Amino acid sequence: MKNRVHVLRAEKRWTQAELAERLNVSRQTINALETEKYDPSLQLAFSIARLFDKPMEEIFLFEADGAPPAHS
Amino acid sequence: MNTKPRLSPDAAYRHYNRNLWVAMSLYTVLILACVYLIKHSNPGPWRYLLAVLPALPVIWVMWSLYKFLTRADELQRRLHLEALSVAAGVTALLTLTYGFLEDFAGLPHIPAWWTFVVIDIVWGATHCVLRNRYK
Repeated sequence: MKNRVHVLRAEKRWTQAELAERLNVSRQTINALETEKYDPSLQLAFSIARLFDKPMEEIFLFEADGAPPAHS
Repeated sequence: MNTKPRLSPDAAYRHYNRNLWVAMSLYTVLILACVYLIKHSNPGPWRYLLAVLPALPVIWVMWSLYKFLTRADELQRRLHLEALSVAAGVTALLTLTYGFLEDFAGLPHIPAWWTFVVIDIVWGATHCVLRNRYK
């Protein structure tokens, strides 16, 4: 799944560690999210949306909305 | 209820790592001391006590790991649980196969505590591989 976490974090001028602390996750998890190697749980996705004060659809892009994922 | 502020996942990991090193150092000291005492003493019932003494720091490690996993975030927990599942499966397969080789093919006996070593090595190695996937 594509996401805009990296861009939104840069806009706030937070480090990965700062964002991790605000979301109560590890820095490793923020990195995995930003590099789009890990899709967050629904609960974490809601926390991210709430923290950046944006609707979920503006942060996460479901691949079916764009090109279909290669593996399906 | 716990009134202490909840450790962040990163702080929980550092805490676990520190406990792990202290406990394993204690384990090393106890192992060396117990082996020495058992070699330089007459057999007696207190040898049972000496033999199980090094397991105490390992109980502490298990407890620390449990605490860490309850404070870890979803990705950390997933990586560890996946690595532990692989370690459990591989260890079960290896010990079962070697047990049969011992019984039926006459291979030399390996002490049971090797199970602990194998599970830790496979767990650590699998965790490293899985963690790199998310980097």
